[in-house]
Amino acid sequence: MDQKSSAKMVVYEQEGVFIHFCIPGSDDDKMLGGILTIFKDDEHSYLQWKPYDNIVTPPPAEHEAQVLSVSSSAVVGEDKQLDSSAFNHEITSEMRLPTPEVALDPDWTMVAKDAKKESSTDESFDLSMDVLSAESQESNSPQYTFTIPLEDIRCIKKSKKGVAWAYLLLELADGASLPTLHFHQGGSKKFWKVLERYVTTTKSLRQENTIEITPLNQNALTQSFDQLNLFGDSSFPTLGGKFLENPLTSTFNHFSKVTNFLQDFLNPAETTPLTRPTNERASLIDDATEAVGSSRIQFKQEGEGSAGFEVITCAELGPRLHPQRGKPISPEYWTSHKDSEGRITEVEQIKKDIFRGGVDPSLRKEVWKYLLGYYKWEMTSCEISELRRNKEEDYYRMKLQWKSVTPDQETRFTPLRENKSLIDKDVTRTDRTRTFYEGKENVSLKLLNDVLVTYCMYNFDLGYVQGMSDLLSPILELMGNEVDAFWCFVGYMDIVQHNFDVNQNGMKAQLRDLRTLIQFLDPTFFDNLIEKDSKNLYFCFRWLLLRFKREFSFENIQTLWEVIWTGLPCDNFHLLICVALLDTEKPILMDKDCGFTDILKHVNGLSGKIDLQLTLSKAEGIYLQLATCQRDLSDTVRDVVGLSKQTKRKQENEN
Amino acid sequence: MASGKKVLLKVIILGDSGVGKTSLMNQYVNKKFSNQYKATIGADFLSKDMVVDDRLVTMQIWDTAGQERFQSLGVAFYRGADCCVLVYDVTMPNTFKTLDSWRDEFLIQASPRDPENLPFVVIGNKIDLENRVVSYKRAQGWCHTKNDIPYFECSAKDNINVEQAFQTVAKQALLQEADVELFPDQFPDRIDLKSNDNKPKSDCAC
Repeated sequence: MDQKSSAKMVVYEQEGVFIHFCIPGSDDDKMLGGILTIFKDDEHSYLQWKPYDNIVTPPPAEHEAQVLSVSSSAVVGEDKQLDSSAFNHEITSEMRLPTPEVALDPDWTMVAKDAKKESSTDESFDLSMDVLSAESQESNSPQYTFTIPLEDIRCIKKSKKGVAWAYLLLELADGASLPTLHFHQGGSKKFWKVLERYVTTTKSLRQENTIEITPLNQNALTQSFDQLNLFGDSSFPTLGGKFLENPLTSTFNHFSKVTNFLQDFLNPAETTPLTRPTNERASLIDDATEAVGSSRIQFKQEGEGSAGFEVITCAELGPRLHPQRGKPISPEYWTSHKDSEGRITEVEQIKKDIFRGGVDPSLRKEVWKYLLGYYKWEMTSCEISELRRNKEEDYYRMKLQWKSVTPDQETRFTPLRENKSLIDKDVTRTDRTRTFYEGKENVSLKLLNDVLVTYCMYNFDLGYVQGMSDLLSPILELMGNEVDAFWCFVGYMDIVQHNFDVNQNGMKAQLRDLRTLIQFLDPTFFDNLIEKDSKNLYFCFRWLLLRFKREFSFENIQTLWEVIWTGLPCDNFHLLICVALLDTEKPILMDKDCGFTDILKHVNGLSGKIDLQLTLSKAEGIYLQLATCQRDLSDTVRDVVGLSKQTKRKQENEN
Repeated sequence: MASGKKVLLKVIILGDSGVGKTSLMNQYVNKKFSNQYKATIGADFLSKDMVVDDRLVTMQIWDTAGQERFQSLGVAFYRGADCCVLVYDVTMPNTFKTLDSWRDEFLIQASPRDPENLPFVVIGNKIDLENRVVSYKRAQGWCHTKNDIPYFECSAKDNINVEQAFQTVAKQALLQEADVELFPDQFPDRIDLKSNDNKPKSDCAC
């Protein structure tokens, strides 16, 4: 082993990883091929991308994306005469901004796809190449080459399935984005595998196809750019039209606006430290949504011929409706929705009706199994019997695994011992006032214990976390047997698992999303919370972690959970329930004498005093308000409640 | 330091899950014990008015979840603490071993101005149980090495020594408080919102 290799060890290397760049206003796509490596030294692991020596410039695309590919030699020729250094600032800034939309624009992807087929070396450097070489000369290294510590990556957005090749967009802890990495020759899967060895990855609750890398350092600026959506679908892609008419002026006009706009925002960014001291880390979520005031304000580019970016003020929320709640679905209703072989029909309608009024208590035992994904709606009675047999076997197999560990063995099996000890402590204090769990030698306690320990064997990576016993308790009482309770619990945990993450990212994301909603829906209340140093919303922690379990009576929590499990009327409906609850308490919470500790006390004291139906109706009313002003919603708000998905689906259906 | 002003003392109780943090707090404030306290999720607090060294003080006792992963959220509650109570269970050696990390974690997260002098009090709870494992000597020894932290052995269940322990907590916290008053401007949160005296007189037209 020579010295060099012991100091730096390459653990992943992938050729044919391309960076595509698309200069705003220009319509050529450039590609730069290179090698992506992950290497480590004694202390850190790094991600590095280096270009090959030659630069590939694809010819303009010819068919699908004709509107975009207007590049002609005349345009390129003209551009060449410009002072390229003038562009350095803009382009560098653009590369460092979180602008996934630019790279992920579908039209653009098509161009790239064509380009791949016919890629050739083009010797006449155009605008972007000039910029690149100018930069290279200055810094003595190609502009796009990067080496970053893995821990600096905050999240990675993956390409959707079905695209020509995988690409990844990396966002850094300081809010900057790296150029999108296109895996022309594959290797992205291996990339994930290797990456997972060095960092913790969690699926983002906020954005689809996004993996969060233990974010230790989020800052407000990133968030503010997200919310502004400066380079979102409304800006650059629309430049093409104007460009056709007057390419040069158009380009410069837009660049100047971007520069002016960016200066205000980028300068503070320079003063933001890259890493925070350890003692500040835990309070980071405080800052996450501290953005540009009310998020109802959006920056948008006005239509043709306008002067440019303009602030469009508050989206007007319409009047709040108070939708009627309905009756629980009845046994007759349920039976009438089963076909002769036991399949459930008209599932969507059933979900709607459950959302409206819950489930009759006599049906719960069966319906919950569907709602929690233990049974599939389309299964026949025979298939269900078989499923149950298999699941029973599976459960007892896992139970036997921990049951057969002897006390002696356990002395050398700390993780199991610790999980069991935590479970033991919590089982003895979960819902002990209920008949089902009361008394000393109650057999239900043993069931509760056994299901929880078996869940540890099922998901040892997660293990037991406080709060789980609260989620299991109503399920076990309803099911009455450990096998069904276990598999329903597994289904429930699949939904809420991230709340229990070691790094608490799931809870942080939920608090952040809730903050986004409150900030949008009720800026006055939000400002009041800021004044009282309460915008961290910690007083909602128990609501979120236990899905309101401790806030409602046993009967009511069953109804509430059923409603939430339908997944209607939008994503994260439970967050709208939080907003509704806070809205009801607002007169007290906004009182000038009610500070952070008083808010916490008041919220904790609401337990058992909340009107469920009123709250659900209010939450749905809030949803309807959001749905009717959909076009004015910021992307962040739309993402939280999943309205972007719904809009997309609608558009697809219309097409 | 005799003054008529009511003082607010903020006290944080830390320790592993199930050592009896909630029970101790309830025994001290409400003189009640229950086997059926639920596991603390998030945070809660109880307040108690008391007289310490002839001064009327309000002690605000904060109780948080014991499982380690929830501590990252604790920082909001730790801030401005005047004293930290570390609790372990005398029948569970592990809960004693983790005292070190609880103490360190608190000092990091609460980031007191003067970490050297931030008072701690250690409570060994559940001495009513027969299967005691951690000896008095061992616990006392640890406290001695940590700048002579006062140590109490208690039973929240049988209300043994709880009052004495919290009296010491209050005294320690008040000492801290007396120091703080030398720098009143660092503690804007102690401005009494209820009185209008703090508001600037609006005799200006703007």
